[in-house]
Amino acid sequence: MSNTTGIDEELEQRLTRLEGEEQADAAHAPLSAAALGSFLLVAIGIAVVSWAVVLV
Amino acid sequence: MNASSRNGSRQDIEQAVASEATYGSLPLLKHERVWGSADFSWVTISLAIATWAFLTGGSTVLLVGFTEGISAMLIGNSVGLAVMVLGSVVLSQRLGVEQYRALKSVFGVVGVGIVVFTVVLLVEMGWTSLLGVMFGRAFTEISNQAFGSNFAPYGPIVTVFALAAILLGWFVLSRGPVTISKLNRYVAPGLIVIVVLMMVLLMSQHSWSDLIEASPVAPFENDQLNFMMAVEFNIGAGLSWWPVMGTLARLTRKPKAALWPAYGGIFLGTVVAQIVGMAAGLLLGEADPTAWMVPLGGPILGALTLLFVGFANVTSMASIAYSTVLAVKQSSGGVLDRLRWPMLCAAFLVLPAILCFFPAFMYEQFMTFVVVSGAFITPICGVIIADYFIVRRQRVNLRALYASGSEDPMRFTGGVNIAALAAVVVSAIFYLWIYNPITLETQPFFEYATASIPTIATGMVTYLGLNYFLYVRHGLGGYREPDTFAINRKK
Repeated sequence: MSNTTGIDEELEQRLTRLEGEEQADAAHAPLSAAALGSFLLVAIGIAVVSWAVVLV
Repeated sequence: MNASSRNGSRQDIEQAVASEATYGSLPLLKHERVWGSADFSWVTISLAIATWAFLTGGSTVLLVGFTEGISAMLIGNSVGLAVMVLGSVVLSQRLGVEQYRALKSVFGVVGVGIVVFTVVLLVEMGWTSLLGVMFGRAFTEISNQAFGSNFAPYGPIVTVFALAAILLGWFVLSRGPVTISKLNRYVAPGLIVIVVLMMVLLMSQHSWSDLIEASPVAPFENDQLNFMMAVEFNIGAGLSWWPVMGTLARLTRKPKAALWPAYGGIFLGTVVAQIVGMAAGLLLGEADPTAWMVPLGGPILGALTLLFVGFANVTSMASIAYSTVLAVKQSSGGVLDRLRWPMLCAAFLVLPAILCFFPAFMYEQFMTFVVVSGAFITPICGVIIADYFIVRRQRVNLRALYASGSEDPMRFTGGVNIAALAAVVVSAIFYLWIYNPITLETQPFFEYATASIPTIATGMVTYLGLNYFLYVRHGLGGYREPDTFAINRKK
């Protein structure tokens, strides 16, 4: 068995497993609008507050 | 060590690297995603408290004082890291796939190679040479203290030591990932001790009012411009994590375990180390940690600290070079597969070694280097964010990332997403028009808007328009492929 064939087989096994039994795993959840919104709020909030401190 | 065990060890290294270069590009399964929030936070904090953070802090106070420096650091890192996280961590984490494989969905398989062999390679080579020069300066200073020599801070001896650092870096790098991670286990806690020690020493010799009232080291006449240049520099420093962060994040178990630690861990580690760099820069008048550690700690403690910092640079060098060489190997389309790992590492280190012959240039152009890197990484992140969040709406077909030839729905134009690369080039030119870090020419709105924020917006808009025109409306680019993990959306 060549190395390339081994990797192809491994890839196929993994894809099959990810598309099947692991499809619903929480690791693969998309980032929710709430999570994205709170992340942006914190990042922008730190920048805005820091800028305001300089202006004051 | 006898010949057979030496051969065995060499084979182990080759095997470990080959395994990571090949199997590392495969999607991870549930049991392989081993990091929770706390684990990933520790990893990112350890990475962030590195020697370059001292230099970034010290360089910030060339332009602004302590209070404004802290504001510039917080604004710059908050914006830079947020963009970096959304442009690397989120995509790789969801798919459980190494960053440059995941980016095939944005740039195409050949397009990723173009990004890796231009932007990523040059940026990481620059950082590698800078770490080498810092090592050279640290050891020159130790020699001056211990043996009473009088070597110049940018003299030929610095180059000799810098080349020795590159050689040491190559040695560590060629030992493979296990050696690098073993060394990092000692270096990261050691650097935390040094950060605390330096701050205690600084504040035992100076008062807070000295620090608050200290003037910037080498500012320009326009205060607002100084502040914005400091902000832009810190945005560039935050963005400079982009080449390595996605690949690390794929090991996390949940989206939140990747998002917050990648942002918060780097933010916290950077801020702590940068504050020490800023305070030392202002109170001792030197941006470079290798210049202020001996005056601060005294000849023995200072020299010992420098010794540690010097070797810490070697492990940092090996860490960033490792991920870059691996990305280069994976993006070469098999061309570099025949080259043995130590040879590939040596090839990567050639340009940094040449740059070590110009230590003054590397140090004096540090800010320019960080900002120019940011000019390219900013639009890259903008394009990725536009593609993943707006065009694909977080829908990516995992199988398509591994498809090739006529079966590949993400082949774009001969493997290149022309819209993505064109948007990056146009936006990088736009960035350099707003703020040219070489000539220091700026547009009036730079003083209020930075260069990065308008560049991200330009990159996103340009990409969305071009990509729709070239691919989306023709049904190309795999945008209509089903999302592998669509079931998660129903939750």
